[in-house]
Amino acid sequence: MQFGTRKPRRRTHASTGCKIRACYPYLQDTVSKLLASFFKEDKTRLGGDATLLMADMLKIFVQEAAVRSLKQAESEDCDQVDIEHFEKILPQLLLDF
Amino acid sequence: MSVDKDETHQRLKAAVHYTVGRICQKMGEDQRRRFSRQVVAAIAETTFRQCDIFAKDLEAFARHAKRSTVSTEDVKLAARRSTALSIYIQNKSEELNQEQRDLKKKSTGKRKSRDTEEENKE
Repeated sequence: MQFGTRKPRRRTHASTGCKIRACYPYLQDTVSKLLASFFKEDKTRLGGDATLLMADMLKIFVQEAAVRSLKQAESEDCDQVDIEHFEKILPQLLLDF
Repeated sequence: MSVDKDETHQRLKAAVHYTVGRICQKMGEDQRRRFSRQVVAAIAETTFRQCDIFAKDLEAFARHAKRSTVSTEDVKLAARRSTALSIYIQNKSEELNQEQRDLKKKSTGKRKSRDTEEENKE
């Protein structure tokens, strides 16, 4: 298989071959439903590639939040990442996104 | 009908919470620090609300372009605030386009060889 996917089965959905869709077949549906639940108009739909890009962006959002909280806890020399560490990095995180 | 929507939201929130928990666990393992449960819940809630903001933005961009389907251009616009992020999203979208183009080439190649086979049979 060209892309070296981890799982042998491939999603036989229309457009693809993409790594993400092959490895995480349910991720696309979840992200699509998640974003669609906030749309104000019923006719708005989310394209396939747009869903993948949004899934990526949300993953980066969570990773940034986690990494910044970790760095904050590290700079304060704490063993556990607590809510106060997250609270301190939250404003800049929201401004960056 | 709003009860259904609440139920969907609850289930989606749970899915987000689970995924956030897994990501936090993985990142914590590298640094050998644990995330408290409050922090995981807070990140999950923040992500959920950020989705709301993203979705409304994407819908507005699509409507502005007089489309009813959100495209990758809308996503690129939504990522404009941070330079590094917008460059990353642009690269990813280039990759996706490239893969689609490669796939199309493969499938037209197959179709052509199938057509020539049929011609030979005739």
